[in-house]
Amino acid sequence: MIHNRLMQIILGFAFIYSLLTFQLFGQVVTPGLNIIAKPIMPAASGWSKINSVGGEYKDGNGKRKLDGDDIYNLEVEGSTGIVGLSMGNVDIDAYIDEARFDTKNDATSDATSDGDYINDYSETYISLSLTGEGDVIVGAAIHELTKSIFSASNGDEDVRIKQSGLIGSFSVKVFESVFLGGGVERISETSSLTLDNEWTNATAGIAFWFGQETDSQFRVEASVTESPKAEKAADPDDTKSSAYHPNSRTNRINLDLMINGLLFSYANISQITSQEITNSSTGESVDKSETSINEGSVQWIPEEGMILGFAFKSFVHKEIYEENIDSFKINLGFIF
Amino acid sequence: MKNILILLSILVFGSINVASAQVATPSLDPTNPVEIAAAASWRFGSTVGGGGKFGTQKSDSEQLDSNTLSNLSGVAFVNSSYIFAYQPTSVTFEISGIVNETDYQWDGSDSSSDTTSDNLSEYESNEIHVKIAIRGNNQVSVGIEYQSENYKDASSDTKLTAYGGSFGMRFLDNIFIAGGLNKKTLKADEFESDMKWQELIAGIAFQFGSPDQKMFKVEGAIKIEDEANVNLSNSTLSFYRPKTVTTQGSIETILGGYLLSYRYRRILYEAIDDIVLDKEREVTRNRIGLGYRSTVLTAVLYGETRIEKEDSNKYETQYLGFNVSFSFM
Repeated sequence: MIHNRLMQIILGFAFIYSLLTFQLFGQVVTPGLNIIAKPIMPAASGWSKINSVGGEYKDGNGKRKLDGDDIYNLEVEGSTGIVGLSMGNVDIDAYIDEARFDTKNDATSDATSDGDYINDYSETYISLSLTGEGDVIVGAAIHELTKSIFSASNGDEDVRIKQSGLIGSFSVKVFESVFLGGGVERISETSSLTLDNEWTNATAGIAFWFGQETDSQFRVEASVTESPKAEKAADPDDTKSSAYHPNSRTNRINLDLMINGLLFSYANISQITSQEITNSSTGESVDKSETSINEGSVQWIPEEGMILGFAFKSFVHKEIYEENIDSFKINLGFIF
Repeated sequence: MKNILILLSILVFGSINVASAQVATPSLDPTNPVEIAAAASWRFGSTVGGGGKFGTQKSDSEQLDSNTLSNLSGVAFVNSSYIFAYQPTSVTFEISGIVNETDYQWDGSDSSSDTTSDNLSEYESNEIHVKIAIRGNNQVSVGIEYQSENYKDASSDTKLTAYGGSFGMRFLDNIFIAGGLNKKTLKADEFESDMKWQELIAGIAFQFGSPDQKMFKVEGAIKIEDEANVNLSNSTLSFYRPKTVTTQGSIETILGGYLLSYRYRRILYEAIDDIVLDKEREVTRNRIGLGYRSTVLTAVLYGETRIEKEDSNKYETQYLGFNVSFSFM
């Protein structure tokens, strides 16, 4: 029972911090006009024929509320480096994303423990995409996530979780300015606390993109990702706990409007995860958690030269408690 | 129910100290810093300069409908400022600040008893603003900025930091629009946690001519800062910062090397619903400037009035300031 509760807490933290760093700009079928935007499916990057390098710094804070009371202060800080290279029919994209989450007891909370939890998150990605005849692009990528999550219940030892993903995807231009695509990601998870686990995410999307390769463009992309439930039950003689990955559906929508090189972007992601979570102190339980993220950004995108931009992002996560985090991003890059 | 308390000194932050009214485009006096980073892209070259300003309280007998009890016999305000703007290409960097500002905060009416206290409390502040902006195709601009202010009076020592982003667009060569968003954080030892709020700014300007010949500019802008509050440490009291709405407009012209300017600014501190008997407060500032601008040298003298009103009570200050800068196009 204690293990189950501990697992809920750890999975909750791991899940939330994954969402906080989630890439919003919907690069499932077509590439984001924001060159700092991390791709989700590798084939999407193939439509971009620019070479670019960029970085982003993010800083945010918020609170977790339980029964209307502030219980945690949350702080987020991180950075991203991304590069995209286009060589004829071959495109290579890569990024690295690092973030640190600091969770502290709110001064007004009734917590008796001196809560101050540092959780680290690191993500790497490298992809190759090939543009073929007939406006079809296929791509493959290696995607790795590592999380180090503080656990007071685990003897103050960090729980280390590593997710290794292999992605395959395609994107097709079906009509002028209309794109369809999708892909799968096979994820293998290892954890210092639980048994190894694995599952396959499936993603599909549609995009409309007008004014491609000009300085005034409009792009809208919608996509959905289904992540199935996956569990590995521990035997009595196992040294590790059971592994559990909840079923979830993620919907994304992204709008890009570029006017004379000035890019305005809006993105929304909403995710519903089916999992029963119980408040151990009140007995109250929920059978799903909901996450909503909104981001708005402005960026200067030249044909060549330096880019500069900023973004504001809001994150809301609801289950037995509610978390709200607002963050600000600065990005800088170069198109060559 | 928690007791409540307003920290009036917080009112000064981000509303009074800003020396310019330049949201969409820079002032024709290049010594004035821009108010949002994106506007810096429309500067005409690099500038280094500074200025000074001092103010006096209007005597008590001259304060309309006033019962101001505190009477300052000498200087009621003094500060010095500096600016360094560097524009090597389409990228513009701007660093500006105010050094050793001394001013007096009027407490208006006592909200808890609805009686007039009319006291003035002295405070000192320093601030620095760092901005970077990039201009694209001479038509669009994007900027980011950071701001830090230290404030100290007899009872508190606080620090304000802010960061944000902004953008600007130019239409038909002469029309400029701009918008920006800043996140502000106020830290104080007395606070249980940081006080945070958001500021939204938008502006439009019409600008004609060239600074080395004839030039005319008119600009209007609005700035909205959210209400914020924070609990006091080891207390049931809270600090409140009211929602503020600032509207401003300016007209500037350069004719035969002379620079003439007028700026109007109105800051409205809205009454806070949670606080019984809290009242709306209005600050009105009118500033005129007269100076000389050549290709390199700009020197401008400013005269300004500030009228702060709460109900029929009033506190008025008059200012005199000067700016000198050297520009390199």
